[in-house]
Amino acid sequence: MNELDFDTTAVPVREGLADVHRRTWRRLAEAGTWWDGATRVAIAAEVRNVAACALCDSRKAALSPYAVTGTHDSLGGLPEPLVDVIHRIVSDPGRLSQSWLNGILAEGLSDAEYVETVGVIVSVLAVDQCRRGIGLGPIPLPDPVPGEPTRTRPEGAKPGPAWVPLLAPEDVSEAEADLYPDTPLVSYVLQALSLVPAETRAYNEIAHEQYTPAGASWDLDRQVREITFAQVELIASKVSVLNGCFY
Amino acid sequence: MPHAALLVRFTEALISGSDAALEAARFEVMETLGGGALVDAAAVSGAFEGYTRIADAIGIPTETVKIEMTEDFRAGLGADSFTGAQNLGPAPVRPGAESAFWGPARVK
Repeated sequence: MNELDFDTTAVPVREGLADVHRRTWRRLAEAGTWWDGATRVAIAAEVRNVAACALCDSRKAALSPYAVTGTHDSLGGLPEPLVDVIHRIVSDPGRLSQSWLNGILAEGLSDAEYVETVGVIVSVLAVDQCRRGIGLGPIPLPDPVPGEPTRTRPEGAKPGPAWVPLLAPEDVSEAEADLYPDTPLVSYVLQALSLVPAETRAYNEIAHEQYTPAGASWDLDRQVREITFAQVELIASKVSVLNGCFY
Repeated sequence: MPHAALLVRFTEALISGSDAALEAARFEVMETLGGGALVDAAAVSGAFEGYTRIADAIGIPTETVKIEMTEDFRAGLGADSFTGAQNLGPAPVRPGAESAFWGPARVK
C-alpha cells in the first residue's frame, strides 16, 4: 500500500496525527463491516471526484437541490444510488433530507451500508483537508486488501431520533462496551455512526488527534496542543457555518 | 480571542477559498502562530469537515440545550435558516443519571 509521507512538509507534523492518518488509510483498504476493500477504496476515489461534477455544481447553486435533475459525473465503478449518496454528502451536506435518504434506501442500499459509506466519506475528507491545510497534497489511494466484510449489526441498535437506527449507550453489548465515554450524556454526534461500530471507533480515533483528546474539559482557556480550546471551537464553528450545518 | 480573524481567514480559505488565498493564509498562520498551530488549525478544520457531514447525513437532532447556549450568536451566523434547524431533540442523558453537563449548561 502507499505510505503517507509527511517528510516534504515545511512544518513538523506530530507523530500521533501522522499515525492516525496511516491507520485510516490502512483501514480504507481493508474489508469493513458491509463493504469489501475494493468498494471502500472506490468510495474514497469518488469522494475526490466530486469536485469535477457539473451536476453537483448546478445543484449547489440552485435554490433547491431537487430543482436540478441529471446524472453525476462519476468514475463509473459504483451503482448510481451510491454515487448520489457520495456526491450529495460531499458537495451539499447542509441540504440533505430524510425523504432523500428514504428514496436512496428504497433503491436497495441498506441503512448499514449507508452508514459505512458516510464513515468512509468523512474519514477521507478529514485526512485530505488536514493535509491540504498543512500544505501537503492528497495521498494516493491504497490498493484494496482482499477480505470479506464482517456483516455484523449491533443487536441493540434501534430506530429513534435520527434517520437511521442508533445504538444508545444503554443498549451496548459487551462487544461495543468501548464505544462511548463513561459520561452521563453522550451527544448524538458520538452516536451517529453507531449502526456500524467500526466506523464510530475509526472517527473517534481521528477526532482524538484532529479535534481534542477524548475526555478533555470544556475550559475555553485550556491549551489544546498549540492553540486554545476557544480557538479550536472558533474554527469548528466556522467550518460548520460554511457547510450549512446547524448541529 | 487572540488571532481570531486570522484563524477564520485560514479556515475560510481552506474550506472554500482559492489555492492562492489558502497559501497566503497558511503563510500568515505560520509566521504569526507557528507551524504547530498551523497543523492544529488544519487538523480541526478537517475533523469538522467530517463532523458536519456525520450530523447532516445521519439526521441526528440538535440537542435543545445547545439552542439555549447559542441564543446570543446563532442568528448572527445565519444558522437559524439552515435545514438542520428544524431537527431538534432532548439531550441524550443516560437513563438513571441525575444530571449531566454540556459545557457550562446543566441538563435534566
